[in-house]
Amino acid sequence: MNPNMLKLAKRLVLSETKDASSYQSEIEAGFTVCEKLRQELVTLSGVSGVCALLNRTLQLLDKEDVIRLGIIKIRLDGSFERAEVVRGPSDKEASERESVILPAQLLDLLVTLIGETLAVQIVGTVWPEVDLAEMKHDAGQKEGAK
Amino acid sequence: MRPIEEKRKEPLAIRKLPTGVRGLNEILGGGIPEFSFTVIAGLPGCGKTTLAHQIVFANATLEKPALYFSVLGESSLKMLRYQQQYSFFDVSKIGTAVRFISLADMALTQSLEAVLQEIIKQVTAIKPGIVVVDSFRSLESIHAGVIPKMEMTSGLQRLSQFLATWEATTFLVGEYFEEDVRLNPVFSLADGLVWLWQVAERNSVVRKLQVLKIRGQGSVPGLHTFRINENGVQAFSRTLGLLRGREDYTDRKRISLGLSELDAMLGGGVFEGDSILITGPSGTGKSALATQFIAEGLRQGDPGIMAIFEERPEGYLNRAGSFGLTLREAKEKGSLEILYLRPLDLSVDETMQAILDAIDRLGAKRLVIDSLVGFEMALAPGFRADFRESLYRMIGALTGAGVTILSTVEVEDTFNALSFSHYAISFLTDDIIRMRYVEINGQLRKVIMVIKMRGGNHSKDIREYVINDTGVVILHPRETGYDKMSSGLPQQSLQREETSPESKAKP
Repeated sequence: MNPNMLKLAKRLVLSETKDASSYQSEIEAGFTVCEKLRQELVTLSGVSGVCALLNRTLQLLDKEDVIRLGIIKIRLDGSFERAEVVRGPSDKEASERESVILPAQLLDLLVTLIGETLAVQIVGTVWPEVDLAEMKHDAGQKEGAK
Repeated sequence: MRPIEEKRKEPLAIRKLPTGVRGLNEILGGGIPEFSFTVIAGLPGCGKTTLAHQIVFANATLEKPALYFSVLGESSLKMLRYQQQYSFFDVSKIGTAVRFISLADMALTQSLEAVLQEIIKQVTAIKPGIVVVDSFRSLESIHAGVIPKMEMTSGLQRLSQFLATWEATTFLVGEYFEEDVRLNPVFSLADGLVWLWQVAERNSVVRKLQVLKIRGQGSVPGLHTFRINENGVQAFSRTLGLLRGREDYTDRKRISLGLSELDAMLGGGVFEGDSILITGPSGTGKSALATQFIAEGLRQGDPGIMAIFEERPEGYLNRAGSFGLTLREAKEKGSLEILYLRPLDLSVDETMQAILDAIDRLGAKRLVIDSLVGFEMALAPGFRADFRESLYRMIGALTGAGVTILSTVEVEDTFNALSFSHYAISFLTDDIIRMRYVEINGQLRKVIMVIKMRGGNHSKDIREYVINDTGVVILHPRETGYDKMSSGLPQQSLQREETSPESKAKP
């Protein structure tokens, strides 16, 4: 996975986390990031386009991760149908990884399709308050060098 | 305050939006009229979406954003994937100054009225300066047969009125066929209609566009070539270059071709701004003469352009070097540009644009086109039929820019006639110089003659010349002692006194 997208996903999850001390809150923040992205992508590409994108995202994730996140399927409108997951105590590193793995994978797929510069630009329109200047610069440098 | 009567005479000044497409503003008569409703039509793959994107990126700002509604057809993500390859695509505008909105799901599941209402809702909320619906034809197709034609027309009319009132310049993109122009009401309602064609002829593809309609301004009629490259669409107007100002021809100076003997035959050189045709069979030294012409200009401080279609630039530079002419240095210094124009499916207009650009870059005063035969071969077959007409425009435009043009053309030598060119283009040249082979004393030797010189007398001599390590060199004595040289099979004559009824140029 593109390390920049992992970094970007962490930043977005952090911005959506209501209670940094709560494991559950971090996981929910990961889903919130995906939901906000979904809404933007529906405007851009339509529901069918987004469903295709999210189904592919799930396929690219480890099956174990999909189960741990409680994802059952993608609904027709592109939202996640989820099962309630009872989580035991978890170490900090594992909880961090689980919260970002889904948005990071979605962003990674977006990068594959439309490039890092444009993917970061779209993220910037959804989260204008998150500082992405450095990431935009890096993406521009990378794609300019190609 | 002026009287009302006087005020009424002033037409409303309609702002014209730049298209961002090189050459297209000129064709449209200045640009796209603000708040107008334009259809961009054509078959799939002819560049409609690219053209629409180019217009969008040229005009969208944060204050006046562009809304790009995609209906059915290419998915927006795929469209963005490909469109960002073009240099005009500005990623930083996406989501802010340029907003893409998919109407695909709505178009498939809801009524036409609902789709139009969604467009109205978005326009009301965002207040864009530019609105694109791509493809409007697919929206029509979904509802064709489901709703009466009158309802479709009425919906479209309401949309058109709404968008103009909301100060949006609108583009409907669609895969239309030529018969649609008569039958589809969208064409009656539209203020502008730009039609794109992509025609395959033999192995080549030619792209052309036509402004079939544009209200309130004069566009350039006819078909115009366009090309899509990494910069997007670039259009070449049929009148390209013709509008450039002509030089003052009342007192034109004579310029040297780089051979003093030939200048003397021409009565002291050719006139600046002339079009000179050098014609002769292969190996007679046409390119060598062209090289000497450019080198002489460089010596006089006149930058030059060589548009070559047969030989590679390196070959040209090497030959010039072997003649002791320092073209390579001039090229490095920027006073000489060698345009090696051999892309597939070239059009005369594209060539002319490349040459005009080079002339502007260098302030060039001399141009070589070597050769017209190679030029014609580089054209797509569809353009070859118009070669003479295009050449006429091109030479008119370039000499109008004050450039002296030397073109070469290869002709076959026959030994019973003296042809100048199989293009019958002498009408567009001011001066014609013919080079040919003659058989003398069992040798194939070369002679040169001036056939025509517009606006000046010229020598009627047929002079023998050689190509040596300094280039083309005309030999002495002036009289060769042979008759019927122009036939290629001369006969030795007696040495004779000067008997020509016209005075000859002094050698």
